[in-house]
Amino acid sequence: MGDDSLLSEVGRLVIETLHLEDLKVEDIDPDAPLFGEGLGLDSIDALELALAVSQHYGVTLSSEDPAIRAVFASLRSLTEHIRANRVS
Amino acid sequence: MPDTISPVPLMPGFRPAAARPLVRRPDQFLSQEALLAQAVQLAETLPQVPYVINLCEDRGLFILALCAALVRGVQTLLPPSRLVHTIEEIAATYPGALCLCDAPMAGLAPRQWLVEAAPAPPEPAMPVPAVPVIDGVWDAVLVFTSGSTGRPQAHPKRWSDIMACAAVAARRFGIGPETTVVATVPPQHMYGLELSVAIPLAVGAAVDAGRPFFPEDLRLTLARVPAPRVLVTTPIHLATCVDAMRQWPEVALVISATAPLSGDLARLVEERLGTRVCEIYGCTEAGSIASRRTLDGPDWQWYDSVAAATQGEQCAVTADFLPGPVPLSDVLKLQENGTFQLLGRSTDMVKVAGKRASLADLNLRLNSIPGVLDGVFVVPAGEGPEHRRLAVIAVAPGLDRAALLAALRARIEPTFLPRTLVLVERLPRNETGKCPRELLLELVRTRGAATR
Repeated sequence: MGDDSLLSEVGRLVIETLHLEDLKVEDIDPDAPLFGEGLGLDSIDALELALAVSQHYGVTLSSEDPAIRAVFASLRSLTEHIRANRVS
Repeated sequence: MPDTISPVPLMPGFRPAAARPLVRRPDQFLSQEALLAQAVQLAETLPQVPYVINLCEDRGLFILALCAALVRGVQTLLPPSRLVHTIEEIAATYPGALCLCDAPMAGLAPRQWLVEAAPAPPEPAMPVPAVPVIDGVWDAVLVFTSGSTGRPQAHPKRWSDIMACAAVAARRFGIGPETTVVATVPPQHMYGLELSVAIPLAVGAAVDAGRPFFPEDLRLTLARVPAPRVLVTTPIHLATCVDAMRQWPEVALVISATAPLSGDLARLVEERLGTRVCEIYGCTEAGSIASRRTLDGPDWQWYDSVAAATQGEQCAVTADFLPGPVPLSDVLKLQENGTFQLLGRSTDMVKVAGKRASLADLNLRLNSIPGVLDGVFVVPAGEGPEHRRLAVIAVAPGLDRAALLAALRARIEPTFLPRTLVLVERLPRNETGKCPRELLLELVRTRGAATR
């Protein structure tokens, strides 16, 4: 994860929100897919993640956003979206 | 038996010259007349095939494709998931089936036909079509579930029964021609088919063509359709949306199904949306057959004409809109006043995130993977989030966890993929060959932690 504390923080949020027990943040490849392959999340997880992201960072996800697929492409892309849109 | 064998109109809710909206999209709607004309035209254009598999995700295009198949007299097959593997299993059993899609699907072997919305002609210029009539005894739609046999199981439905049940449900919930239905569930599943396809066709309500996903999507969709609005959704969606339900558009009624809804969540939704929250009880085999307002308590009311009888623990229902008795896999407590309570499920069926699977079916698929010598799905212990995930214990000497997961991913829906996967040398079977649940749970608890 290097020095990116937001990346680690979002990684921990994913793990906690989705009850991925015993997965450590360091084990997540930040560029691996979150859905299908990689972490193997599904649409239920996407909903729960959206809720958690909204609650923690004030970032609202919507399918009308053309970038929505890219946002969920990897932990890194999700983190960048949060970084760019968070309500401090 | 009741008179459901007469031919029935394709669209009993049609009112000529009323220009009633049927399918709503942002800034436009498709009228009943326009849909009928398009369905008749598509019916003429479709190639000669014995079956169609309706994979349209846009609800309006799903309805168009369904109506075209009904007019043409071709059976519509509705698969239990969008997995290529599952669709091809069905196509193998129903050779010659044509997939009706609204977007090309990659990697799908059976022939695909793209369903597109025809540009809507100017409304008043359209001649009023005669409403096609559908044979009453014909099995118009086959809705598939993952049965307990390792292959998808077909549940035939007559259009007469689908329309009759829809009318009963619409009366129960007060849904009429002025209502717009917004649904988060797919039209291919029984619940979505009944509430977001059949009811609009049966009583003339409108339905939004979309399938809103994120809370914001849902808010936007509700906002762009007129009141009165009925939201058709699931406990999962309500749980993730309730937090965002501040100053949302007015919703006349929320209907939930696929899994039990907690009273606390129902109360929150009723408060935040100023609405009533009702639940439907049903299954693919019988369709929807009962309802309750969650906050009224644990008693369910059967739909009109539904009668239930138990033999031992097994319950079966009959209804005017069912061709014969249908056994239920839930354990019900039938009460003197005609209501019932839900006591539990038969042990083979498991629900994860509102989706139903047969453990026997999952186990068959697991054990069909090359390299898996023995394997079993385990439902983890304890109360917890309704969407608690499954675990798998397997003997697969030549496979690593990634390979086994990849093989499972091709065979079962993502919802049922195990979050805990334990590879062992032998499953803990007892003298009768069964795996005692306590031993399985122990393995999941101890070995699962080390091998995520």
